[in-house]
Amino acid sequence: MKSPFCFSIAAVLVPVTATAQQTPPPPPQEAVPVSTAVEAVSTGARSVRDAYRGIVKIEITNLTPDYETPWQTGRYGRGNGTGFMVQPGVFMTNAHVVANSERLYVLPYADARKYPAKVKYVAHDADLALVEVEDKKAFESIPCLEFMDRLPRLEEEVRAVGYPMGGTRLSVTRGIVSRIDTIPYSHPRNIEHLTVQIDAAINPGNSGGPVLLGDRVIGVAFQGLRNADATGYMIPIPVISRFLQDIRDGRYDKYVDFGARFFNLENPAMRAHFGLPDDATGSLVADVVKGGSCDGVLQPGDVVLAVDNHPVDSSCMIELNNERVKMEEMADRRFAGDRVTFDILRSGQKMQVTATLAPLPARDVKLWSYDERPRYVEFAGFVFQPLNLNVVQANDMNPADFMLAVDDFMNRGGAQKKKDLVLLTKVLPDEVNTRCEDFGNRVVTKVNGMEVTGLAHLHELLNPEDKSMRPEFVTIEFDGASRPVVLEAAALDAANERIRNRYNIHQTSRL
Amino acid sequence: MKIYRYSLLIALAGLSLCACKKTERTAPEARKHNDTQQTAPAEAAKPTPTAEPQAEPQPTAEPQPEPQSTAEAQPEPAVTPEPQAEEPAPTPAESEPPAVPPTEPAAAETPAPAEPTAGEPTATPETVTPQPTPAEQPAPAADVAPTPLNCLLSVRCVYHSYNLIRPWELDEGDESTCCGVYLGKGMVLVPPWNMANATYVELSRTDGSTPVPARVAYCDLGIGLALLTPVHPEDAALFANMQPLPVGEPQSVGDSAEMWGTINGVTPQKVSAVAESAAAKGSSLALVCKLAHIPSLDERRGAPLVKDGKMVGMVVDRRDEQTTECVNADLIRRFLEAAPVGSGVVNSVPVLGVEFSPLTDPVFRKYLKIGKEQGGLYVNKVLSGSAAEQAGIAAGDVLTAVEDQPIDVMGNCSFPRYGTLPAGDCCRWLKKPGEMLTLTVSRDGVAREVQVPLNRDACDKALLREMKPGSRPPYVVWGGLVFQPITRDLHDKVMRVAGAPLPFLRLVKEEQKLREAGVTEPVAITMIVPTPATLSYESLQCNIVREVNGKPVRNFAEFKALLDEPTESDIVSFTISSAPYTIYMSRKLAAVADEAIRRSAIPVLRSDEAAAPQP
Repeated sequence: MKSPFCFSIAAVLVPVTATAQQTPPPPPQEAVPVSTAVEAVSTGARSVRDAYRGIVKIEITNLTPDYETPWQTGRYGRGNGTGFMVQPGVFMTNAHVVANSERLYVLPYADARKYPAKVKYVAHDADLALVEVEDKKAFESIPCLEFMDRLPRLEEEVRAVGYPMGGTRLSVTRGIVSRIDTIPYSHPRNIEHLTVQIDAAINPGNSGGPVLLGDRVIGVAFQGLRNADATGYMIPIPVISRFLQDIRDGRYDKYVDFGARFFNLENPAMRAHFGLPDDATGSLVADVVKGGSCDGVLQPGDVVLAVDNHPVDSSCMIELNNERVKMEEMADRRFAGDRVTFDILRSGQKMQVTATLAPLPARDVKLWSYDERPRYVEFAGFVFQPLNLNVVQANDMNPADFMLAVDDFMNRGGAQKKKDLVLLTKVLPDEVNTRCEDFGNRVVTKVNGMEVTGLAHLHELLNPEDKSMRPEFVTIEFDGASRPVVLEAAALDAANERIRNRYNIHQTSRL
Repeated sequence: MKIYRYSLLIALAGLSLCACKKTERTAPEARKHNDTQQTAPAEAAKPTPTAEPQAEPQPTAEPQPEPQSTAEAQPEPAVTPEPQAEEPAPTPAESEPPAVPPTEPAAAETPAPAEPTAGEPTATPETVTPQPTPAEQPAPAADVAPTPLNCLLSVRCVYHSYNLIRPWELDEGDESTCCGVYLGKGMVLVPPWNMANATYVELSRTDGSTPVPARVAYCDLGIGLALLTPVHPEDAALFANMQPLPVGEPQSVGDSAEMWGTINGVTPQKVSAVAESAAAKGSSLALVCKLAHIPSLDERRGAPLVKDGKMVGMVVDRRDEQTTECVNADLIRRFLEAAPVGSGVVNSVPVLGVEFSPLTDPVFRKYLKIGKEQGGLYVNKVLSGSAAEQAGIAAGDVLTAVEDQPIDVMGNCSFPRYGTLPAGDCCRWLKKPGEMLTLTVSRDGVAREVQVPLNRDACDKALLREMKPGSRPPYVVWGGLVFQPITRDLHDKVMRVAGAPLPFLRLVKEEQKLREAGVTEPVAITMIVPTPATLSYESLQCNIVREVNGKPVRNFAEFKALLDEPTESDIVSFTISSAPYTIYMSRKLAAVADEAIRRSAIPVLRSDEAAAPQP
């Protein structure tokens, strides 16, 4: 699945030049040194040309699920990207290259053979994945690539290597590091991480490929920017090393989040109110997500002076590894269960509070979902699906209709009371549900007077084990609807059967 | 399921989607409580008094402002003055004392006169009767019947409304023309269109001669009619040789009449029109009339429907080239009856304050225990403070009859003269404001009768009220923050242009809580001008202001008082509805910013201030 951003024009092939001299990297702080995380084998590359041997083409056949008619198969597609070997037979690439894949092949450098492979680990919230070939013997003589252990500096020269459009063999493009910033990742959308912008041409097909500084990897090429020139992006070392550290326990856990929103403390009147001197230190806690890491630890109105002994300035930034970054970058480098301390000012008193980091509650609702089949319940022609970005996009819904419901669910503790926000997405017309076609896309609130807490709960309420327990009329209530949907219980069994046959629905629910 | 498309930047963090909104087909009533145009608190009182003036016959006795009398009087033989009123064509005489109008341009009936004005010095509006001056007689006298050329006028209206987002400015505005019907005594009946926001109105003869500036004497946006009159008394000469068109009997569906107009202002035109059906859209009630052929006419809107020399309707809108929507004579009468004591812009049409849903779903009907043949409408919402609430109607009730007319399965009931109309419209139009309406309501199969007072409380007592049309929106600019009370107009505009900000979305959900807290008029920060005082607050636009310095804000007047209240500290705090929930501003910096803003951008920082003299 390709990134929705378009890439700039075709790569210009430039000859590979000798690498610049290496400068000693500053001592790494929070980030775990990549080399130890990867356990690079001694067959590390010794020269630039050597490094190329570990860069492979990845071909995939994918199956994109159908979130609009969720009992249907979905669409088959094909695509390709680039990967590079980091352990024997294990290649790093982008998550968006292998998302929803049914079949994967790895094509070695200068070799037309295709080696079947499987996804070993995937981090959709970081756009990274590790792919493993079944037959490792074929790759025994190939050196693994090694990672740098730092961020690049502006203007350092780098090369993007991979298999982009415009030909079938390896391609190299060269450029400099243009910017280091935090921007949204287009896979999975609605999440931001540290990114490095380079002006080497990065085109469709380059995704997942290494960006080299000398003979070592300094990033993974992954997206470009539409309507801009020479703007390519790579995933930098801190994000990569966090991913590799996270999977050491055999499982990828999600990113964690402070679960708090911060506000610049620059307004002179605001600073005066909090008794702060005019010295650009300290940021304000603007909001705390109920159920998040800082729930019960920070309060709106607290002034954060330092986080884990890193002083916070008045624009919510800290210095991390000699770079000034947003405070949230600290949480971006940590793992679930880590503790973090805040030095705060609360009602004029200096205090220290500690939070245990956890992922944002119900975060996945606003991220694109992959590698899963859509969940749904079909009943009497009514199709219910849990609210998430895929469903909203596929059904052409107006996000304004749900903004409040989503805000309550994600930020105000709704996710602690409910597992899903269940939506009515479709009504399949039948005699049992005529006059109900106008209910549109609405959140289901109650069934037979009982509050619905999730898709599975809805299914349970609509399909009680003991059918005689069903009331004479099944009522389904929706948020903001002009009336409840009322169904006659006696007609339901025949209706469900009829609808299943007419609309070719083999499975009436997937929970 | 996809009705229309638009792009929206959603709060789910910077994502651009193409989205479609599926609209719900709810009963027309669903729009009812909100589609009425205005709620001028002053006018609200008006409807009641107007109920009185059934006593037309008296008009001559009391001094009354121009409007009607003539018109009304028609049917009443008792009215003495009336007959005379019609004759003396030189109407200018009646209305204005001095009037020494320069003779009209040739056009129209020659009977010269008009000068007779001299005779009038009685100068009294009601002049009608005592016009012994022979001078008037010269006018066509009783022989002259109204024709398209002698009772119609051309109306030009330039209108501008205030820009709700920058309330110190007027919008671009536009201009429209229509036809007007002369009623006598210097009064011209027109469809209201944009009269409420008129910046300049002009009356002239149909051929364009003698244009004179005019003003809106009275306008009812609910019924859909307005009365214009010349601004300068001497301009009454415009009406020299004109014949007032009396009001006739209201039409019923199936009746026919003639639509009158002119071509190029000089050729009279009469087109046969048959009332085919009735339509109640928005807040107005109209007969839909089919014309015999597609006419060439200078103007349609404002053209009268005439039968036997009397006006039985007025065209207010056009559906297509051969179909027009017309206000019927019964509503014209109701309007003119209210005119003497009314002034300015009103909306006299009552609002029940109920949202209905149709009962076309057979299972839903069974569930509500509604019989198979029985019709009705399901009440799914009753607005706070509304007439329906006062009458004890609640969500879950089923309305089955209006007065004695049962509601059918489609939610319609029969309405005399107009045929079948949605029940909600019947509720609004069957009786006059101030009267009581009898409704039959059923719950759990048990029927009861309720008496509903016909008022506009649903609008007047709503949390988000409509702006008085043509009025200047209130606002305060302070330190770079632009504060405004949230009217329904402002709320709808912000939702449209600012992509549905969360605090505004929450307003509807929080209505009950706000009312309990005593809030009658929520106040919002609608715009933030970047100044040193508002540093770093720029992204907090479209926020509700809950408190100032810790004290609750319940309406705009209270907000202004709290803002101006002197405090020892230089810092003012505003509690708002989104993070960081409280912002602080320095009074000193705000004052400096105000000076700069006043000089460069917004000369008047408060809507209730006069503009400061420019240096």
